Formats: sequence, structure tokens, C-alpha cells
Amino acid sequence: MKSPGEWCLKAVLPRSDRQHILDELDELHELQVLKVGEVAADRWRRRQIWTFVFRALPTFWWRRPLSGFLRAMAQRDGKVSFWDTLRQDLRFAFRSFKRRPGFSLAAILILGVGIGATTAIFSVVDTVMLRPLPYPESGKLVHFGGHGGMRPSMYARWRDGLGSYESLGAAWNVPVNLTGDGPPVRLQTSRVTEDVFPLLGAAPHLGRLLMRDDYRGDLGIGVLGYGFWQRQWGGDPTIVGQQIRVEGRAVVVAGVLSPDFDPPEAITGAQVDLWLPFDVDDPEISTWSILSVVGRLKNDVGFLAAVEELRTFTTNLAEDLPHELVSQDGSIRYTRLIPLQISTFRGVGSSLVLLLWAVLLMLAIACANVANLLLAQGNARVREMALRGALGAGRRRIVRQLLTESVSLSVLGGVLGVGLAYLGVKAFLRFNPGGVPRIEDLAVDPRVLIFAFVASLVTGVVFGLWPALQAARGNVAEAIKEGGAASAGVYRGRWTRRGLVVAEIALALVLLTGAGLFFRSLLSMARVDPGFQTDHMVMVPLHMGGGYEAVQRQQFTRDVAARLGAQPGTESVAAGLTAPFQYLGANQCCIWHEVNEPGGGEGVEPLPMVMTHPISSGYFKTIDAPITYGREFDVSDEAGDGTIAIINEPMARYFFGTEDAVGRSLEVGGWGTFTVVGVARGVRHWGVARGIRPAIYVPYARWGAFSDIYTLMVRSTADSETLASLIRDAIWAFDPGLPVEEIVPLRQRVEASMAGQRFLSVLLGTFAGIALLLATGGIYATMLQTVGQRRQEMGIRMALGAKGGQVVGLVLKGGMGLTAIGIGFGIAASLGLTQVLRFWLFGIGVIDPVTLAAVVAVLGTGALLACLIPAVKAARADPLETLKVE
Amino acid sequence: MSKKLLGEFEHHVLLALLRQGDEGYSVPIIGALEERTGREVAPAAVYIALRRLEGKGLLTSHLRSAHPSEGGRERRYYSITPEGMARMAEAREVFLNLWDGLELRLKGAL
Repeated sequence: MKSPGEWCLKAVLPRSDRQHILDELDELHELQVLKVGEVAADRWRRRQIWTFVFRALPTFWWRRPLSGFLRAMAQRDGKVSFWDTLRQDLRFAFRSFKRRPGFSLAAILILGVGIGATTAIFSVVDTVMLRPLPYPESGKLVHFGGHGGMRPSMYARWRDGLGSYESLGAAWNVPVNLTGDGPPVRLQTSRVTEDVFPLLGAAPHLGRLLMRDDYRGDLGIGVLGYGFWQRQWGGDPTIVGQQIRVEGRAVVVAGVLSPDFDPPEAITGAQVDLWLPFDVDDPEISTWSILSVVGRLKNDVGFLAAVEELRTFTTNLAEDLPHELVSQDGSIRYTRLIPLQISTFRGVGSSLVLLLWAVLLMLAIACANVANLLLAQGNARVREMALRGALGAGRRRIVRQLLTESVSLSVLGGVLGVGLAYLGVKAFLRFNPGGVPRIEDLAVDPRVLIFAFVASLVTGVVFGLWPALQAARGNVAEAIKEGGAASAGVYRGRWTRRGLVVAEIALALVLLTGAGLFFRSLLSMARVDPGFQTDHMVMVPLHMGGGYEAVQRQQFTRDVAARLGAQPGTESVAAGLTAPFQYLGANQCCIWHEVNEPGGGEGVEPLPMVMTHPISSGYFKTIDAPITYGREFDVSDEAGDGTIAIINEPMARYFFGTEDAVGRSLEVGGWGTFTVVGVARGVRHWGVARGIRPAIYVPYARWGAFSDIYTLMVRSTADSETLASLIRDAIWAFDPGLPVEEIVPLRQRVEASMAGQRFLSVLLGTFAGIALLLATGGIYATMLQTVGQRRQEMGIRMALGAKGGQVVGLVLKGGMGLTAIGIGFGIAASLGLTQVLRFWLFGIGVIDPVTLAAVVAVLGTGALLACLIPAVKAARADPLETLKVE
Repeated sequence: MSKKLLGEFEHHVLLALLRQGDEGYSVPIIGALEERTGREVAPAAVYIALRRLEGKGLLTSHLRSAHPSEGGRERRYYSITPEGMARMAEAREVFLNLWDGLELRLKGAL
């Protein structure tokens, strides 16, 4: 497939040079592959092609092919060449800008804001969604998505049985502790199968990558990520071949990855510090759902064919493995296949597209606004154009001249817009709430500049064409004969202008409604009770890996809790596998089971996918979440066999209705039967926007201590710095080698869970605010001009005894009539368009009367003010003066 | 001196071409430039310099397809005209004249 760069290069090179330059570039590219690896060489080639395009343009293009084209153009305009005409038109345009600096500046500013915002959002969409991933032939890469991770046993079946792929690779991403000299460090590892690196075209910066032999024996070999190598060892090349200690085990560093290699975010996460070999056939983990799987399709296999193959394969396999592949209701659980590119931006794509639409709406309003200003211009210049016509300028010639003027305006606006887009991109990088993939590559680059330029040209034609056609339609004789402002030409454009104002108001109303809905749902999020008290509460995620056995983890919890509990300010300490809001969004953590009544229950289906949460004693007291009835775990429970449970209200209601759940039994997956000792009201575990799902809590000592994931929770009135050092001291008193990477106030996590919504609200609010300004500005300008044109009429009315109030009423009636029509259209449009917002909204419906009423009130008030000023001006005018002028 | 002196980069490109023997094409020229200057060279810059030199009459060029064993690709081969050689000689002369007697000042920098 030809890249846009190659396409442009072909377009700018003369035919005689095209083939050999492309061939020679290919040759140079091959040399680069040998030198720096495939990925870096591909980047080099893309860069060189663009350099070529921009440098070749003046060298090759200027004289030969273009001059022929221009000569051809020149023939059509009589004897004057295309360039001469253009130069003339440009000169004319700039002269007219100078004559009306207020109008020109306003138009440039309006267009600049519109184009700038569109360009900034486009650059984000381009970076995150449109640009190919930085891997060779990245369009052939697919991601096997499913519920959580894949089992290694299933992966092995796919690898051996599927025929659509050149190769498959899998990764298991685990955080580990790096120990050794200095303080322990927490790092992100990805254990990968041997096909992952070749499949992604990765190359080493130093040493080598993982090879077949590394997958035999004790797997004690690894490859460092470039960034981690720089951070941890300051880029020391002697690290290759040395041993480092990971989770107490020795790992030999085989090499360092190239800085050009970006880990595939959908597979491994954005940052991988250390790459280790993964043995798919390890029987111990073969049934754990841990793998992310990526595949490279064969060249002759299309995506849909691969989807079909996987489906057939799974259907056949389901007969052998009903346990793994068939749900309770008998349906087969198919794995979804997603192009890797789409999978990478899946979480944010729809929000970005929403922003793009919003910003395009704003650009449309800006266009309508400037078109309106131009129409007013056109009217004032009807005579001038008519005169030009009389002197022999054809209609086409006049249209062309006016279009040159509007396109010059929009290109100037575009220049301003690029500046604004640059600032916008900086602001986006600074304020984005995180979780946007590939965002580190965001920049205003040639692609974005080309977009801005094209957007400017299109904008110029869109808003300029109609006014130009209007102006050129002037009847020469009539215009010259009648003269003055009240000629027929003036009234001709009136309906168009009113239509534009109505459109502006309608579009602004749609944007304002959208922004209002977002804002309202943000408010209702902020009011949500997460089910626990977030103030004075911190969580400390710990990772007690190698060297810890279950018994020791349990003891450690007790020791740390006892020590911290004795400190001033500490109110309560507890631990759990995870804390509420630690993982936001998807089900990225925790243990999941199917829960059922023992013996199958009576008429109640088992609940699939219930979070089974191991917690220590005092957990609910520490997070200050109410127990509705029964009790929570106490220290004495830790000695027992651990078959007791606390369930939350949704779960109690599901299984026991209004009956008392305490004392009843529940069967939890393969863990056995538990007796309910308490019912908790319920906690939102994955963010404010997520509801309270059925959950079951079991004693940590028996069911959690096997896992190395562990989160300490402390409620204390001590100030944050003192508390942090108290917590570190307490932990390091028992294990000086345990990294304490972060101590997170829960309040901060609650804020973080709303950050995406807040960010979208702010952006949409900004666009809507600008739209409001533009729309009211449009009404103001139109009314001002109408008043100007009807000066004479007003003068006569007042001379005949009309009061100032009546004149004000007359003007207001006109302006507010337009506003009312615009609002009517806007409400109808927003009822339809905001349906798409359903996905983002929380706590309100898409048809929200409060929002709509507020928006109408705001827009109505704005419009009223915009009409009032020209109205008062009209009423204050001295009738004698106005009549005299005429 | 009636004509303008060669630009620095044009001079470099001509020297790299001279190194290829009677004629040469862009890929080895770029290789020689990168090797001898120790800097990355943009192919576009080299092509444009070659075109400019050809426009000034210091080079001639023709298209030729490589041998099928080398992929059968198309290449543009350049060779230096007598006028080009004369201009190079002149440029070298000027350069050496300018340097004459200044080598000692470079001590420590070399």
C-alpha cells in the first residue's frame, strides 16, 4: 500500500525522475534496515520522503509542469496569465482588508479559532487513531480480545491449529521488584513468547533480543527496555551480560531494545521495563487467564477470513472443552478478533470522534458567521461589483475575485489557527486525564499542517462562495440607478443572512445542549456516594513477591497494622487484595468466581463473574463503609478455616430477597461453601460511574495471602507527609527490601475516576462557549445592519410619533423572532443528535428538560442582549438627522 | 574570477562523485558523504545538489537500469564534465590558498 508521503512524492516529481528516485530510495532503505533495523529504517524512509516532497517542490515543480498548466490557465482568461490575475486579485483583496480592518480582523479571528480548534483535535485523532502503528505492515496485526486474559493452554491450541497467521505471540504482563544495590525498584515486565519480537519487527540497541535457546531451562535471561536502561543504569553499555536480581532471582541481561521500539499498548501496556521469556507449556499456569495475544495475518489472508476461521475453530473446540468455552446458558464463548490498531485506541476512540464532531460544528458556526459578515460586505459592495460588471468584468471574473478574497481571509485565519492549534496541542498534553494511547507522539507535524491548509481552503470556499455569487448577480443598471443603501441588492441577501443566523443559533444550541448534558452528568457523578468515606484515607499498593510465603504475608500484615495502629493519628488499618478505586474502569484486577446457592438453589440462576475479595479484619471499619446487618471479620476469624463471608446488599437481595442472609450458605466457584456472617451496604469498586455489583468478601488470611498483590489501607488524621513517612517506617521495619512506590489518598482516586468526564466536559464547554459567542455575535451584527438599513423607515415612524419603546420593540421582534426559529430547529436537532451521547452520560437521560431549559435561557438571554444594543441605538437616533442623511 | 565559487555542499557532492570513478549514482555518493563527513545526509539534499550541478553544466547524467541481479532498478548515473573538473580544480586551489600557512594555528584543535 502506498503511504501518503509516497503518493505526494510521486505527484511532485517530474515523470523522468520519478522511477529512479523511488528505486534509489528503496536501495537506501535496504541499507538502513541492515544498519538500524526494520522499524527505525521505516521511520527513516518516511522522514526522507517528506523531506523530499518539501524540497523537491520548489526544485522540480516550479518551472516545467506547473508553468505548462499555468499557461493553459492563462488562455482561458484572455491574454492575462493566471498568475497575473491571482496577483491582481490578491492585491485587491489586501487593499480591501486594509480599508476595513475591523471586519478583516474579526473574520480572521473567528476563522482562526475555528480552524485552530479543529486542527488541534484533528492532530489528536490523527496521532491516536489514524497513523499506522510503528511496526512493519502493522495493518496485518490483530489482537485476540476477550474477557480478561487468555489461558496459555488455549493459546497453545490457537498457535498450533489456526492457519491464517504468519505467527502468533503472547504476553503476560506482571509488575515485579528489582532488588540489588540501592533501594528496591518496582518495574513492569512483560513475559513474552519467542515470536513476539520478530512479529513486531523489534531490533536491539545493544546485545541481542530473546532467542529460541532462552526459552529452555530456567528462563533466567531478559532484555531491558531502552527507557528503563537509561533511567536505572544511565545508559551504561556494560550492563549487557551482567546479572540483575528480579524478585530475588538472577536474570542475565541479553540486550537492550532499540529506542525506536514502542511496546504495543493493547498487548503489553505502554511501558515495559524488562522483557522476559514466557514458557507457554508450563503446566503450573496453563489454566490461568493471563495472556494478551497478538497475531500477524498471512499476506493473502483478509481480516474477515481470519475472524471466520477463529469462529469455526472455537465451535469445533467447544465440543472438546465445554468447561472453558461453553457458558451456563449453553452459548459458546467466542473470542473477539480486533485489528491491533483499533484495539489500541478502543477505550478513547469514541470520545475523540465526539470531540471532532463538536469542533466541526463549531467550525460550521464560524463559517456561517463569516459568511454573514461577507454578505453584509457584498451588499455594501453591490454597486462596486455592478460597476465592475459594467466595465466589462464577467460574472466569473467577479466571483473569482471575491473567492480569492475569502480564501485569503481563511488562509490568514488558518495561519492563526495553526498557532492556536500548537497551543491547543500543548494544553492537551498538559491537561489530558491520562489513559490516551500513543499520546506521547502528539505534535503539530506536516500531516497536521496539510490538514490545516486544506481545512482553510475548504472553509474559504464554503463561506465565500454564496456571498460571491450573490454579489456577482447584481443588475448593473438597477444598482447604478438606485444607488444608496436601500437598493434591491441589499434586500436580496436578507433572507440568506437570516437563514444563516437561524442556522448559527440552532447549531450553537446543539453544542450547548451537549456540553450541558456532560456538565450535568459530571455534577451527578460528584454527588454519588461511593459507599465509603474517602477523607483521611490512603492506600498503599504493595507487591510482596519472591521470598514471601502465604504465612509470612499474613504475619507481615499483622505486624505492620500493629505498628501503624500505635502511631498518633492512626484510626484504623486494614488490608485487602485491592482497595476500592485502585483499578478504575474495566475489571482489571481481582478474583472472579461463579457464586451459587449450595445444591443449585431453587429457581435462582448462579451469578457468574462475581468479585471474590479477600480482606483483613477491620476492612469495612477502615474504609468506613456500613455493614447493614451481621458483623465484619475480626481478628479471631483469622485463626479459623476461613469459610465465612460478607456479601453486599445486591448479592443478598439476589439470592435471599428480603430474608435475613446471615447464617445462610453460598458456594463460591472451586473454593467451597461459605457461611454469610454479615451484609455490607456495598462499595463502588471501579469508579463512581460504575454501579455496585454483587460482591463477596472472604478472609484475607485464608484466601488472599497466596497472591503477591496486596494493598494496605490506612485511615489517619495525620498530615499526608507525616503519614507517608510513618507508613514507610512501619513497612521497612519489617521488610527493608520492599518497594513502597506510592501512597495514594483515596480522595485523589475518586477525582481520577471522574477525570475523563471532567476533561470532556471542559473541552465541550469551551467549544460551546465559543459557539455561543459566535452565534450572539452573528445576531448582533445582523441586527445592527438591519437597523442601519431601515434608518429611514425608523426615522419616518418616529417623526410620525412612534415612541422610542415602540422602535425598540420593533427591532427586538425581528431579532428574537429569528432566535426563536433557531432555537426551535436547535431543539429538534439536539433531541436527535444527543442520542449518541447516551454512552457517556451518567445519572441523567439524554432528554434532560433541565439542561434544555438552561440552554434555551442562556442562548435567549445572549440573543436578547445582542438585539437590545442595536435596538436602543435605533430608538435614540434623531429622526431629523436620519431623514436628512437620506 | 568570472563565475561563482562552488557551494560547500556542492563541493562535497562532487568530491564524493569523483571517488566513484568515471560515473556514479546517488546511493554510493550518499554512502561516501556519510562515511567521510560523519554526518547523516538527506538523500533529497544530494539529489537537488546533483540537479543543480547538472543545470550549471558541471555534470551530465543518463538513466540506466541496474543488472537484474541487482534488482533491475532504475538509476540515474552522473559524470563530471571537463568544465566541472576545471571548477573543482579552481575550488581546491582557492581552498589551499586560503589555508596556506594557517595549519599551525590548528594545533590542539586537531
